[in-house]
Amino acid sequence: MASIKNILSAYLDVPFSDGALLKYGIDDRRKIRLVNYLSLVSVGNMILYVIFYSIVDFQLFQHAIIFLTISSLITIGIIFLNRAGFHLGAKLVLCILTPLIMGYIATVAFGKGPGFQMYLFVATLIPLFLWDWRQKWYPIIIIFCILILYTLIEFYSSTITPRIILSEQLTSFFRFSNIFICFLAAGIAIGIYQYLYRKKEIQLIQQAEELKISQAHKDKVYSIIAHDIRTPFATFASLTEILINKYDTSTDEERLKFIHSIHQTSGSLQNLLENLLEWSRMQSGNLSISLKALDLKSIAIESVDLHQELIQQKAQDVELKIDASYTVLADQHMLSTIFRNLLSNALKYTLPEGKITVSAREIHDSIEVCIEDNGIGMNKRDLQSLFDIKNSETRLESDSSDLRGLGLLLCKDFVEAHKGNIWVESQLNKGSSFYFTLPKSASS
Amino acid sequence: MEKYKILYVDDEPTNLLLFEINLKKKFHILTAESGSEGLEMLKNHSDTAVVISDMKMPGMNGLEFIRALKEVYPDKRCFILTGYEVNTEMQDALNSGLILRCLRKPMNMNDLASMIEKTIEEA
Repeated sequence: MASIKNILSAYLDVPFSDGALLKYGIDDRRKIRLVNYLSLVSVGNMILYVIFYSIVDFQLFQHAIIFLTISSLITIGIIFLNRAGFHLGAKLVLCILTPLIMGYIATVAFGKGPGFQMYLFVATLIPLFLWDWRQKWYPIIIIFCILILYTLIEFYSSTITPRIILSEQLTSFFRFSNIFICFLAAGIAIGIYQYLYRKKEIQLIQQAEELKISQAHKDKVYSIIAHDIRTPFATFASLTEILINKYDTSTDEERLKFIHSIHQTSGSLQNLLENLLEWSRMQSGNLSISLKALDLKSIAIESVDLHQELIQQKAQDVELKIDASYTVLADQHMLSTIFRNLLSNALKYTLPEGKITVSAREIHDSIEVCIEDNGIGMNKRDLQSLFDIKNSETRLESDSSDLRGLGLLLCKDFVEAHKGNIWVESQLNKGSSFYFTLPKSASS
Repeated sequence: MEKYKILYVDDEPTNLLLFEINLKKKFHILTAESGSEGLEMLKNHSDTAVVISDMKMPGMNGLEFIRALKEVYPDKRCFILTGYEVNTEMQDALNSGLILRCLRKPMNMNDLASMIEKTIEEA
């Protein structure tokens, strides 16, 4: 069976040598295969007629056999036209010659009947599947030709005497079965057409969305390389140059200040690279999430400890208001990253001697964490673009939207990986509150 | 001769430090970490010759800060020093004369010094 399938698909598909794969899209390939399948169906139909004629003792049996053999060869020729690359020719032969042949056979045998009209109706549907809307003139012209053919038959068929006179019962059976089959075929055809159209439409919308996001990601990375990474390196170069050139003339205190600056810049650069790495892992789907019951308070304390140097330097007050009993079901690494970023963000945008409060409360099955500061806050424009990479326009040009940058996008991805929510409330010059929710651990 | 006063506003303390170290021989350098701090600073140093501001800062951005200071000191000469591409907002500010120059970071400090000197001479 497998080998028959292989042979069939080898003959019915487009030959893919010589870079043909690049030339044909998936849609073109489907259409070419559809033409091949339909021609096989037509040949099958003709074989059925031969069987039928031999059973009913058709007067012109020999003529009919010759006619049907030639027709079958033409129809089989469609497959070879396709293989030779004449796809348009194959389609035209299928759409024009096949209805003509079938119409002739049916009319000569049975005379004009409603079944035959339905048959033509189905023939008019086929072109719609073989050309897409950009080449709409082909189906329109073909459908027009078929309609003319139908009109001619309608006017002149009274002169045709049916060669097969079947019993009244059998004729009406044929009539109804033909109508039934044609309605069924037309229904299926329209159904498939609608389905494919919808599917394609949805696919296109999704693709456009994905493209937009991936473009935004690329812009983001460029922007980071262009600014966030280049600037600290320029700072290193300048500070070390000053240290080298003015080592003897500067005081111990000044030198310590320079070294301190280098240390601080390297810390933020490290943080940035950490985020960049995690974010690209997240984007490429290489970051797996392992959920564990975690003590929320101890992770918050760890994160605060990590920023102790900066907190003391800016004389800021960080208060933890987290119930020691709270445990969340989360990935430890991701949770630490969320805390690290939200806290460093709050510290950065809070003026010296400002206050930052980290609190948590229980809401049904989740824990809501809030990191509140009385810092500089944000305006509406910044608020809107904060977590939304797609709507950040061209990142390279933007002047404030990625102030808070990659860290927050990472927080959003990580919180959403836990099926939680993240949002922010902020007032310019009053402060910001970042909220996120995580699932509560069953043991809590 | 007394040195001209230059105000530099940037949210990154290291940038302020570098600016001060490199240019303090030629100018009297004033620094501020935010636009509002810069406006405060100008109250006490209204004789500042040139104001240079970073573009991307929390709170007021560079252009917002310059617009605010121009309301009080319409003739103050201002530069933007940015790590990013010149965007349309900055281009408009250049065209309308709100800012005289839009400079890209990292900036060669000697070039910056000569640009400041040239601007002061033209005044």
